[in-house]
Amino acid sequence: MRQLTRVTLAFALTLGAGLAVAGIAPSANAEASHESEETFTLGMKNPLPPELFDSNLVVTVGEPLAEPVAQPIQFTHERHAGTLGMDCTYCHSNARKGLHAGVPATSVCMGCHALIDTTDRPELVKLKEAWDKGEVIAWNKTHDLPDYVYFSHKRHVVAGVACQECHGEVQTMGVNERVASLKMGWCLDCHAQHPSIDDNYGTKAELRRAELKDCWTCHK
Amino acid sequence: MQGLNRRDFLKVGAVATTATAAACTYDYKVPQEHVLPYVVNPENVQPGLASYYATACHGCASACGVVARNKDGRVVGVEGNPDHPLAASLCARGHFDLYAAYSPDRVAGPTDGRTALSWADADKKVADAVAAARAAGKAVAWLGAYRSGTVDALLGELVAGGLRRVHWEPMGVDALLAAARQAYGVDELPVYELGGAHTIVTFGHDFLNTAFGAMAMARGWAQAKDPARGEFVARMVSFEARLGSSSSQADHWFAAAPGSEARVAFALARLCAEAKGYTGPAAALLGAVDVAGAAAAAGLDEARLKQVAGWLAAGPSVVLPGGPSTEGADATALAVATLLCNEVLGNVGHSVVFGRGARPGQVNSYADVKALVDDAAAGKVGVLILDGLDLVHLAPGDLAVADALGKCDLVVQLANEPNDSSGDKTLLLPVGSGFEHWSDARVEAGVAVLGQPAMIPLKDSRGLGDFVLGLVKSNPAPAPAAVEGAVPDAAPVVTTASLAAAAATFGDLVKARWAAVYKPADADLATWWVEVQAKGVFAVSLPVASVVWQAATLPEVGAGLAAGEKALVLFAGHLHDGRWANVPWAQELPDPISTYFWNTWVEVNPKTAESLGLAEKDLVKLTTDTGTVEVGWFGSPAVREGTFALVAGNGKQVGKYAKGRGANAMKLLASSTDASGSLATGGLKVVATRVSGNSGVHALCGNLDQDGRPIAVAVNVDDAVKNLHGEAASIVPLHHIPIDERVTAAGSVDMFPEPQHPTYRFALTIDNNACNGCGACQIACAMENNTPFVGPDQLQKGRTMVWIRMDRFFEGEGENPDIRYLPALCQQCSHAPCEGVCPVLATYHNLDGLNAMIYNRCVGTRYCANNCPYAARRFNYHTWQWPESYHLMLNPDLSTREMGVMEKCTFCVQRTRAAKDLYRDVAFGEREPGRPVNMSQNTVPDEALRKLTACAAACPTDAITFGNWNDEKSTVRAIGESPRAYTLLGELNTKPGVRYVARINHNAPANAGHHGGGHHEAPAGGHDAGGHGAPAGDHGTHPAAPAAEPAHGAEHKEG
Repeated sequence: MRQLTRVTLAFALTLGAGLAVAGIAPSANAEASHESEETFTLGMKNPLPPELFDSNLVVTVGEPLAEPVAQPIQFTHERHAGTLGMDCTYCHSNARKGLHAGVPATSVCMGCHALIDTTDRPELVKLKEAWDKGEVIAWNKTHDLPDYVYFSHKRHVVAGVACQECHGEVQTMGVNERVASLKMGWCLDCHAQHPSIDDNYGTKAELRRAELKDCWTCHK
Repeated sequence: MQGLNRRDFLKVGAVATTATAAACTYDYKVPQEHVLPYVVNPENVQPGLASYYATACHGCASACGVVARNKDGRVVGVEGNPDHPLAASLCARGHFDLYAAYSPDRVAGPTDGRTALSWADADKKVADAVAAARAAGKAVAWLGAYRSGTVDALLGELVAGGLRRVHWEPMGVDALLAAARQAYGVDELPVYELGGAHTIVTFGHDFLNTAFGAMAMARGWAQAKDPARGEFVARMVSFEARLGSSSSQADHWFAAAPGSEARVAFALARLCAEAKGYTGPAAALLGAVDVAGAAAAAGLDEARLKQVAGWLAAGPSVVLPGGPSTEGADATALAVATLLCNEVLGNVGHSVVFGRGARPGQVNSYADVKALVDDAAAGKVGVLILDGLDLVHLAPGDLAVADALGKCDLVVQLANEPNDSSGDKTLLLPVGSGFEHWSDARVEAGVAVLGQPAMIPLKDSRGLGDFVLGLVKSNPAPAPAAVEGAVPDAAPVVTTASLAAAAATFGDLVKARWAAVYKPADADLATWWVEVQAKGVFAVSLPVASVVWQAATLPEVGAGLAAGEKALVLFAGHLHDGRWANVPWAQELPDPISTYFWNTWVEVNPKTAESLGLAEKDLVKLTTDTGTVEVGWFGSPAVREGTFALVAGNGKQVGKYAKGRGANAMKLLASSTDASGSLATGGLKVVATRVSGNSGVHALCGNLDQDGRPIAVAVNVDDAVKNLHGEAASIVPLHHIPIDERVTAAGSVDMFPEPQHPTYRFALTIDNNACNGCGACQIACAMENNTPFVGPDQLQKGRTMVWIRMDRFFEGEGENPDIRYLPALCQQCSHAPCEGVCPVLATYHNLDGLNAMIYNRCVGTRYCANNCPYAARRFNYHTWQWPESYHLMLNPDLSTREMGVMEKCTFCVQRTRAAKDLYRDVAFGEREPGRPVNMSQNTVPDEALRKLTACAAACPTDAITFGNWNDEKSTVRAIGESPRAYTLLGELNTKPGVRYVARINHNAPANAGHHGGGHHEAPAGGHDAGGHGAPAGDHGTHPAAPAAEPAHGAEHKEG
């Protein structure tokens, strides 16, 4: 009986792999197949829980977005960074300190918006309500690098790469768009010839460019 | 599959491939990810950057300091606290403590086993039961593991209010404490300072692993064995029937018969006194000691005992007490005898120190536990509070604990998950982990650790301290009791009761009590408290009190086992007494001696196995008066003939991972105690028979020895000490196959071009002389690098995922056990066999000298693993799972791997990357405007690299050192070029980045006439065709690796 189970398992895995090659998602049967009791769940399940994802919405990876990503509040960079001329790092203050530029805490928004009239401004009402209730605003990512990529905003900002080089002319965007593909080749093109490398490393620029081509510079 | 031949398969495959190509475009779609900002940003928190909190380890009573690494709200890693004066590193079990905090079995909140309760209901239930017990004249009792610090003080208050309090651990310190009382009249444990000892004698103390204060002793042991520190190497002698991890590095092993250890120790004391000319207060006692009788009972040669006494008397020394496997019916006598040895040798006050108040809070003996359980069985206990002890699992076979618990009106179990002791009457109150709640613990009078919470509780738990504080508040003591003020220079008269009355939470109480006990009078409280919290430890050095021998008589020693009787001894493996049985990583960590896992086994001498007729998969049925177990066996040359060494810890009935694993060794014990009430775990009479069947045990390390190959190498002690200062380039006796002259003449010794390492050549050294196979590096690696557990079935197929394999070789025999460990990880070769065979370039050599492994590229051919001579690569046969809530402690700095992908040690690339990032910040910060950065500031200095990898940071004996080989002044280079250093399988010319330092053995043959392999000899020439033993020919002992390059980045050519 045990022998039979093992044959079935091997077959299920082969079948699962075959289906995956053919572009069909492996069925739940393949996921459930394992040899010992529940204690050791084997199979193809993603080890991470789904809370942080919205599977109903999908984003295309690899090209500039055809349509902007919907957001819970229609925030406009054009007003803040363009008209008002606020510095990017006023809100995205982590960009020069850490890996993630980060989205500002609601308290940062309220630093100004507590004083701004919300009459006939439904988007600001949403912000105020979230603040009053202490709710987290779940923004949708426009720029989403895969989890196996190590990317440090700090390294790029400190090196003198302007935000706009990757994010586009954000200060003119009414609704946020993604202008870059974020593909690996796009990253490497820049790593091969960005002028800041010569500025920062002088005679060692060639070495730095070689380092920046190493897979382990970005892959984790 | 019979109907499908190869041609058909290819046809189907071709169609499928074409269809795939047509269906897929380059772009693909992923689920929309959210980004969730804070509502109000917490102070000092930056998303993606770790925060570090100093806290306390509660894995055992030793109270080591922990630096917990909190990343995005969850503690994802632990390391030892370097500010802790005694224990700057964590053992393997200290790491299990974090895994246990994320256990899937943790209950959501208070529960009576059937329904969930609110804390208010639970409190009411406890209060009602206590009131009912008081009214009925029944006892309210506390039975738990050792607790020190503020909890201990609070429980003292409750005793004044009528609480009956028992603290016991099955492999605890009660016998040693009783012996200290008898011998010196002090109520504290001796502190063993091993650092300066030239001779270390042990009677089975598990001083490197599970003993109280093991981390401090491990550090001292490594210092005593390091010739560079004092131009001597401690000689280690073991008197015990079974060598474990702690004593496996002994130079001399005297397998004293179980039950005879105390007599041997007394005999040794007499011989030492004679050798030393001792005339102190204990001199009169020694006349009655029968040396010849003791030697005969133990099966030892009297002359050899005299020789050991001679070594002990000749220089600084220390005699360590017994451990679980030697603490039998004479446990206290054995401890007294070892103290007597130290007394006559003059070690007391030097290497054996009293007066520092070392003890893990209140310590009771097993006799007190039995009395309490007997009273419970008689219906005299109303409320029993069980803290941290799985009593049903731990009790000896003849103590009916489950029945006794059933007779209590309420059993309050302070634990995070149900265990064997959870029954109908149980109210399970989750007390959370030390990472979630305030705690503190005291090691010695002048050393305490502060356990501050390092993350928000995962479940609805209330800290142990808060629970006890609640009890104190609801049961105020009748009169003020103990007076605080343990530190001489700050002795304010404050009672715990008054502090407790004023404290709203246990955190407040800890602060108030620390302020009262430890704060210097002139320090500002707020400033001082911030400092203490940051440091996590309070330490003052107290003067060493002098103690005088007081025992007027020597304790009686029993006759031991009769001739021909088989002996059973218990020992603690990675699971200790069973407290880590439900941690899958603990179950999976192979035992250092047997390399078994997920099971219970008995270690027997191969000759004993032969006499029983044991076949490989047979079981051994062990029967004592109180119980029977059937377990698999391991043929260990490090066990005395006729002795059965059984590992404790498994055999639990409850727990997702613990249930049904192995057998419960404790059930073979009887409630027999020695004179001071200590439970006998060694020297028990046992009947062993063979049972045919499939035991299910499996060794990860298949060989007993290394078949004569020089893998883990040992050198003679005199050679090691004589060649400390570079007198010989190498003293490692490696004899490699000479390279054919035609190859050297053609200049083609190297198959690959020399790789460029312009800035860093990361390298690692492992000192096998300081390694005792404890496993801390393995578990630290697993935690840092998100390595999963795979379960026993997969592990038996060899699908281990731990990146560091612990090889173990029995190279000696008889009195010279010569057990060698070799932590084997990816050697990061400069000429790596794995790289050339990867068809998709998923593994390649990078500029830092690392064999990079890119998971996204890997297609799982496994060619690399097949071509790796070190078997360092691990293949993901499945997408391994981190069940709820283990996934919360995944390290976000690196990815998890999927089915079909190869992985291996990366030298913690995420840590080297972070270190480089830090020093790049320094360089950019101090850059002059308009000028390039100063590249010397851009390079990570040696002191920041030395303990950078998880394994190096974890090693309790500092055996592992990391660094940059290109830096000629680096520590790693100094160690890696020492005469004892060698590369593994050097004749393969792989030029590894890892170097091993040979173990030093007092019995190893002197390396006379060997002039060493020499450093960095040119590949051409010098190779004697005659080969073996040729003085200058050992190519590969020190190949030019790890491809040391002068730092000439400008000349670097892009590859």
